[in-house]
Amino acid sequence: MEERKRLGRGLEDVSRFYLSSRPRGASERTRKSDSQPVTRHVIRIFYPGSSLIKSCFLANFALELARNRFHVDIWDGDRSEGIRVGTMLQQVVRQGLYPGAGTVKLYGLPDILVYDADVQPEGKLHDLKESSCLERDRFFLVSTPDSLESVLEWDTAFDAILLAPIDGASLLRCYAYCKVIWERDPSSRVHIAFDNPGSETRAHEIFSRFSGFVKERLSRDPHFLGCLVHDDLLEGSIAEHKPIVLSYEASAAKDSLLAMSASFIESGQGHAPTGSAI
Amino acid sequence: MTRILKPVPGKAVEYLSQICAQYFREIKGYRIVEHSLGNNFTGRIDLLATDGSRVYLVTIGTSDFPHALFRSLMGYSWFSENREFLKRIYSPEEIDITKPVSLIILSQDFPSGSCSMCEQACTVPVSLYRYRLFGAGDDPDISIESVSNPAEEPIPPEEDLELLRKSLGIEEARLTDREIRDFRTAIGL
Repeated sequence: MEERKRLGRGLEDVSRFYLSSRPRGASERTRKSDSQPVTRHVIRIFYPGSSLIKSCFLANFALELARNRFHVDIWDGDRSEGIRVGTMLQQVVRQGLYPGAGTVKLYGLPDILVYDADVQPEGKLHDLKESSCLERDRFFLVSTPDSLESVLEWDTAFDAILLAPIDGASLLRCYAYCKVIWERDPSSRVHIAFDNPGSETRAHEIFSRFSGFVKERLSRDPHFLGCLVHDDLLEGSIAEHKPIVLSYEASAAKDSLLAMSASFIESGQGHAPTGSAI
Repeated sequence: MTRILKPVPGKAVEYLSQICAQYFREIKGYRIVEHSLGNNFTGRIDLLATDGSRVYLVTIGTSDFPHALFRSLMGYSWFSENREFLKRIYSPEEIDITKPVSLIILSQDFPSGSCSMCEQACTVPVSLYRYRLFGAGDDPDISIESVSNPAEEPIPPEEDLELLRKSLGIEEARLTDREIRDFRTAIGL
């Protein structure tokens, strides 16, 4: 810790990203392209009722994926009132480096491009497809207004992360989203994360019941991503518009975000990226 | 449901009516329209109350149950005979006298089988409540609890699931009522 604090101004925040736990090229040795399942690269994040926590999660999640050497683009398309993804990243995003997008430069790791709501997502996705940007190691994280209409409007295949608190109404809404997403595209993957469940044991118990019902009615298996823990550091990071994963302080909230990102990658959603992309 | 109410200064009998009125107002959501209606010779109603769908004639027994029951029936008789008069006294917004009537009897003790006997013998619904006095005689704490059979308890109105779908914004999922109920049962929340 002492050594890190001696780093120059500005580097302190990003130096952690030099310390990616995933070595360059290591993934290539284990990667078997032909045997890997087809993956989705467009990940839509939903949290009906809290664009604030959704934006906070998405910003930190994007940074964690980048730390694991994935290329990440963000479409910040939720125009609803409150803090947006761009707001959460405003201390680290730089304008003018890439046309039409803000850039989070991570020095040694893939940059994160942040598109705002003025860029049409379907058009952007088309561009990405045309330019072969949707590679195995590239993710397009999308924040749109949370509604089932917006789920149905998209004709691009996507996977989803559903964030929800543990209460009956929110879980019912989660189930409704799962149903619509899978009716629309049975091959989509749905990740469930609970917001501030209070107890991890309780969260697992509730998810077990939830997934049991989903399996019985929809014949599908949602993936349990984890729990977002709330603490003072998380509240401070939201107030300062600074992603919590950039902090050096120990924090249960930060650990929970790291665990969720790791769970996402380990679930097979995020295939090991190639070193050459960096 | 038992509820220990805050002590009210004064004599127990004098304040029992106020405490009962508070109970029915706060716990049951009734509107208390009148205290002590009628007379001791032809019939008296201790509390006249309504929830909008029914008229409740409340009798507060201060001796034994047979006496309270008799007073309640006399009160109902007086109410039936004076219905037209009461219609002129109270506006429909205040209490709709034409609504169905229920009798409520409060007593300190009930013989076993009181509920089922009332159900069989009476042509209008009868609800029984036991009250207990604690503490000093002139400054008592009072608890009130229903002694009606669980089967006689009014069934809560069924939740409007269409409204729930709208409020959650999940109409597009076309969840059936059965699906929602099964989900709730499975989740257990």
